[in-house]
Amino acid sequence: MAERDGFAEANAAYEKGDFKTAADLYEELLRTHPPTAAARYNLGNAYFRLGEKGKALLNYERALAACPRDGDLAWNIRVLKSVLPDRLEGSNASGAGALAREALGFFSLNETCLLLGVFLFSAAAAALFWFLFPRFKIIFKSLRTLFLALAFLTALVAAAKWRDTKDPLAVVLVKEIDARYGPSQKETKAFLLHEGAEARVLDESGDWFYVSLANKNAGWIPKSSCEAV
Amino acid sequence: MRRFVLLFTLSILIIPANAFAEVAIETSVSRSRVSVGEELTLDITITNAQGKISRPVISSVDGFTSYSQSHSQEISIVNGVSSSKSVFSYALVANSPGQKTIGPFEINIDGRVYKVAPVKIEVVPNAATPQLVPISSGLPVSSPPARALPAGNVGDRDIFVKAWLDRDEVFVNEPAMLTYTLYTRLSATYKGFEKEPETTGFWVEDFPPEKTIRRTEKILNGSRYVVADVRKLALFPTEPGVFTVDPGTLAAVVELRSQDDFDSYFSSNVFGRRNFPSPFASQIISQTLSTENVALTAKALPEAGRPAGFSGAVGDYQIESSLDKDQAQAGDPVTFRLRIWGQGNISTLQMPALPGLEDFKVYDSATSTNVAKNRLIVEGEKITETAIVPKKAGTYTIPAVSFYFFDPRARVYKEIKTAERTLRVTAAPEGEREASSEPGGVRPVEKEDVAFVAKDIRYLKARNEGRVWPELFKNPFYWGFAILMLVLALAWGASAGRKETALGDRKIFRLRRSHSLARKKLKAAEVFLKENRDEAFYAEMDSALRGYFADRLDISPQAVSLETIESRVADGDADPEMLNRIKTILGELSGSRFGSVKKDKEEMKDLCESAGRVIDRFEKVRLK
Repeated sequence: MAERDGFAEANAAYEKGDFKTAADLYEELLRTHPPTAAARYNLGNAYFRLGEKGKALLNYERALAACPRDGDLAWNIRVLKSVLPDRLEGSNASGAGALAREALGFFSLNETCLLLGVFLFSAAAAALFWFLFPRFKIIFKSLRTLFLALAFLTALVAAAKWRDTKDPLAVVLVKEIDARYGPSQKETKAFLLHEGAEARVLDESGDWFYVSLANKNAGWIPKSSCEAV
Repeated sequence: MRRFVLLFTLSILIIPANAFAEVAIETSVSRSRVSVGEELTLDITITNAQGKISRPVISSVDGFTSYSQSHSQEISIVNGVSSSKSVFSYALVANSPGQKTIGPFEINIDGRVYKVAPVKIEVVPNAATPQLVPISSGLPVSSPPARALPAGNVGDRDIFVKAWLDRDEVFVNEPAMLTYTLYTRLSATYKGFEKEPETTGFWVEDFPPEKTIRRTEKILNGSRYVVADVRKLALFPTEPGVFTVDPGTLAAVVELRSQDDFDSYFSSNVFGRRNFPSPFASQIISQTLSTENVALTAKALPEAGRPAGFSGAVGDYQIESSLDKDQAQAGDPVTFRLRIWGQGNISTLQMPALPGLEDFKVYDSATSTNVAKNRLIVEGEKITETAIVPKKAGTYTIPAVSFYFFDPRARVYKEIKTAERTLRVTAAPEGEREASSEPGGVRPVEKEDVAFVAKDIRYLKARNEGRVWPELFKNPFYWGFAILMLVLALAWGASAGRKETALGDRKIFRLRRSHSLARKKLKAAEVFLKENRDEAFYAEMDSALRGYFADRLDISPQAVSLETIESRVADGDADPEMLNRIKTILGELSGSRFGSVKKDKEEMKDLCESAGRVIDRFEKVRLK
């Protein structure tokens, strides 16, 4: 009940144009209650209105991990990225690579794991029926093979998506940050990232993340300048 | 050649004294009434004159200035009759109004003086055509002395051209006038440009020649020149910088006359208006005239005060808009006309965009440009007509349209705008309305793409949905379950496979052992026969035979019957004799075991041997 009230209160503040209060209320709600994609989406909107594009994108990406097929979310991410200064598309930003990424993004990692469990359970059930009723061998043996094959494919998708967890996405939250060739301010500057830039965290050392951009450029940025999705 | 010479000689000799008619002298003028500044041509034509013709002596030409004179002569011999014609032509420009008299004339032909009556011309004042009036620049006009030059020797001071700009510095897109002025003290004809000027970096407007050629007379270094502006170009720089224009070269034809030619009064120059002088009287020389390059500095337009909607127009403009009607029906097209006119580079002027008309369907615009150069400035108008169709009834105001230009004289940007226009739109008549009001059906409307007006993020989620569940892949129970399911699927599958294999093995085993087992039982039956154990004999025989068929057909011994056997035998292998024999043996065995039929030893032995042959024969039978 308190959760619903807090959400409605935050929405009301947003509707009045008090985006700062709305953002604080959404943050509080996410801290004190189990997180929802809607609260993260709305928090992203509030930050967007406040001009904090990095935080807006961070919350949109977090909501997307839970609701990968939400059209509003996808639209807002597109609109937000269109006003970001850094061009970060990789070489396979279009064509087969983009199609494969879109297909992978259709399900969340949780959904993929759930699907894998369902397929494995179905394969086991089909095997049991085959054993018990050898007369219906053709049906049950085929079903077992089919479910095992589906489970294998799902496992591949899950493995590909697992990369998102292994190398989490980080969003730059400060206006500008220099990526360096090493985890120190003394190292040479490699490139400049602006607020809202996304990069994969490959490694960390002390207060530094080693990040890789979609275009394969890599560098070290301070942990304080970004946050992992 | 010999024949031509003979004919020519004969023709000379044959010419009779009466072959020449009497001398006739005619005077004609191209116009009897001219305005001040206009030109007329006076021709004195002498036909059939013999001997030397001296130039005409004209006693009076008050009120006119002569610009050219020429003499042409023509002799023709047709069918032995010779005729000659000499024409003295004078181009005269009237310089004061009133009734004027040219002449009388006196012409000396071979020592005899002919008198010709004067010609009357009415000269009326006309201030509208000053372009051909000679301008003396305040100097007394007197004819330059006739010059006689050796053929082919025209000096640089006799005829030359100057290209000059009316200013050295202009703003971008502000015109600078490039003028070509021809100076000559010879009789000359301007023939145009041999090499056009190089005007890279400029938008060029060329003025029409009839508006540009102005003639004056000037005294330079003691010599009288006729001066004419032969070409004018308006140069509009397209970008800032210092430009050097190569003016190109001009061509002119120069006439050199004999010294004893016409009298001094008509000794001026020719500018392409008259026929060429006769080769009997003068010599024609083509002359190429070049001049020095000219430099022009184009200044950038000032940044200060430049309006956002400024599109590069420089000059002095005005704007107006209009609608072809102020009242229309919904769906009827109305023409919105936007007109900008004034001085400047009209050709490159960009018309302002139409204001947003949401309640109208706006079609493509048609733009027309009209550039006028009559006043030796580039001016004109540009008109855009756009068809707009009101979608529904109401009173609409078409907002004012603004246009910005840079005024180079005041050195400021100026904004001009049209007045707002009001259009009253009435509803379309009942019969022309769209579909909905007609009970009989619907009329499809033209579809349009839904266009985004602006991009923004989508609105809030109203319900707090999309609970973020714990991540399954981090849960060991999930992985335990998944692995268990995988193991079970594989294990149960393997077990089912093994079971299937075992079942298949038993069948083959029975098949393989069937014959040898039956043979063993038959031998055992023979033993029982020798021991006179009849019941045991029949029991063993029955077991051997039924056991054999049961193993072969993979059925139970109790299920063995002739019908079962017949049903399993392949179609081509169903031997009736064999089947009959099986039936007989099975019947005899049943009868002997359970019935009262008693067989002797021989019959029992035959039964045993017959059963052995039957199973041997059945080994070769294929089963279904």
